[in-house]
Amino acid sequence: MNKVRKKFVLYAMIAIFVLISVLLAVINGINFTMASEDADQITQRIADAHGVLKKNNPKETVESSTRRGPMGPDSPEMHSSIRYFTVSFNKEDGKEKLVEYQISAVSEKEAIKWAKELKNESTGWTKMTYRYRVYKHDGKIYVTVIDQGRELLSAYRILIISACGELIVLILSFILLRMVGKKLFKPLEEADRKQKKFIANVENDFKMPLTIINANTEIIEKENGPSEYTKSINRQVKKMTKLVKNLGSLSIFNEKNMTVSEVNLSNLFNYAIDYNKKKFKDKNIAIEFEIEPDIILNGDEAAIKNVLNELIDNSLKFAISNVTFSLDQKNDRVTIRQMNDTNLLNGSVDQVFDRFSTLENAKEKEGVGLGLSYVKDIIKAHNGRVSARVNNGSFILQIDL
Amino acid sequence: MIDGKKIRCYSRKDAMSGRKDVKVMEVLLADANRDMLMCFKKIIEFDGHEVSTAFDGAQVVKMIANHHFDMVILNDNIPRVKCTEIIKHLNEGNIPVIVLTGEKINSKTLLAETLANSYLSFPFLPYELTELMNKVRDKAASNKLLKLSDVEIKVSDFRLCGQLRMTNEEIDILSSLVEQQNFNEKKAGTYINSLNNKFKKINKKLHIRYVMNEGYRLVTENE
Repeated sequence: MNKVRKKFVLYAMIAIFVLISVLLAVINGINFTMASEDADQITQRIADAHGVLKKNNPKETVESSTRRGPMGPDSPEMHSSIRYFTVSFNKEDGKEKLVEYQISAVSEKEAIKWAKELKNESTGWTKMTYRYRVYKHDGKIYVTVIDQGRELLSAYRILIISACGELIVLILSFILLRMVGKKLFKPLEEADRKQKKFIANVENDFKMPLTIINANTEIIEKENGPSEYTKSINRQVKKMTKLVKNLGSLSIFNEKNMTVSEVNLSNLFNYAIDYNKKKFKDKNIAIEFEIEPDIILNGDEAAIKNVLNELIDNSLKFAISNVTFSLDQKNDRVTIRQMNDTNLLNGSVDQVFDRFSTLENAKEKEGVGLGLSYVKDIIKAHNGRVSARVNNGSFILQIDL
Repeated sequence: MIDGKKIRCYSRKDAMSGRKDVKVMEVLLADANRDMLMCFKKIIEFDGHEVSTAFDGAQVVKMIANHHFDMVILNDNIPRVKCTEIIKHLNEGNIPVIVLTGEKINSKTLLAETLANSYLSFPFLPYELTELMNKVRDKAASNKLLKLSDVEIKVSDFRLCGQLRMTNEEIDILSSLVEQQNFNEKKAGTYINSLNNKFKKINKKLHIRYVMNEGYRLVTENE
């Protein structure tokens, strides 16, 4: 249940992150494009005047409100606020000439050096904050570079602020989601816990009375001799003991009720196979096994034993003539594999791990589709993976731990 | 497990062999359930032992302070005083303890809290308890010395190298392995696992491994 809640928070966080990121990317993208366009408009105007920035016509704007408006290409203050230089090159001999120099941040030497580098480009950004344009006029190549530092600074500011904003929103939504998640999942968790506790309680509360009934029956038998009735009590108690023991495996297995210890998987597997050998022989199923010795695993011993027994039961039920078990370890990955011949068709058959689901060859057998789902629960609780597939007439079930 | 045949068989054997060859013990039976006390007091008395009963932990502590018992049988969730504390106290006086538990016995519980000489988990049959009592008593009384390559185990003090405590079942399995006798392999898995863990804990190169067609074998690690 804790896992489900964490998953919920994780997915919600990913969704929020993606949404906000897309939104901010679009906003900042538009912002930068517009800054470029503004710069291009200015360089275009310089290009139109062959390398010099002329004053905006004061007659048109003298009474207009744009005069005091925000700084744009049409502002009357523009020509004095733009820092720029223009270098021209002769087409034939490539001799350079500084046409206009209205900038302090770049020395004349540097200006010419930059222009040489940019001669073969057309338009774009250079040295972070400088916009350039290359154009031809009168047999000469002109390179105009303008300083757009102030405009870009504000664009960068918006970018940084929006990134910080996203981070803050993510943190806040994480806190919020955790709180909401706790509330949302509380009833579910409660129900889950109650169910498990109920099963455990029933199991424990039945155990001692059964022991006492047994003991009392024994005393009666000793004092008055065994009778039909005491035998009947014994039979019924035996039946009930079996039921109580089965109740334990009904409760869904999870990490919380695991008792972890070091388990010698090889020993358990070898023993389980050896113990069931006769059953395979009775069913005329040839059995092979390749088991690496002394593979140690941290896990719930009883549960792992059950897994191995389920695999063996499964192969006993469905193998036609042969079955192979293998157990090996590569770089901390333990692999258990069951391989038996089958008449199923090729493909993945992962549905065998679903509760109450069976394949068509199980219809006439006694399977109800619980065994392998139990295996899956246990392996999942051990952070492992299960898979099943059919390949050229052999059914392969693999467990990676 | 609950097998009517076995019960009757046991009853007859008990009636015939009687109480002559059995050494009488003073047993303390502690459980919160009075019905449990009543019937198992009777069952143990059939074997000829003297039984005193206690229904909570405080009473147990009081009783073992005032009187020497040969064996204590204890439910693990006895009220008022923690079961483990009582067992620690009993271990100091070298009094054998059998713990009755509702939990499933696995190698972790055996490794972590092997304080008792033996565990029995509910539900069990009367004869299982009395047989276990006899076994534990015999172990505690015997002077047998088990020799495994470089380890010596004195059976009576239930300890591996004088450090880790071992249960009756673990000693049984170990001695069958050393003497190459057969034992009930189906029930042994848990105990073998906990034995292997204990060997590891005391850095002995001993190991119990399952050999196909042969059964469990005791090997040293570099073999």
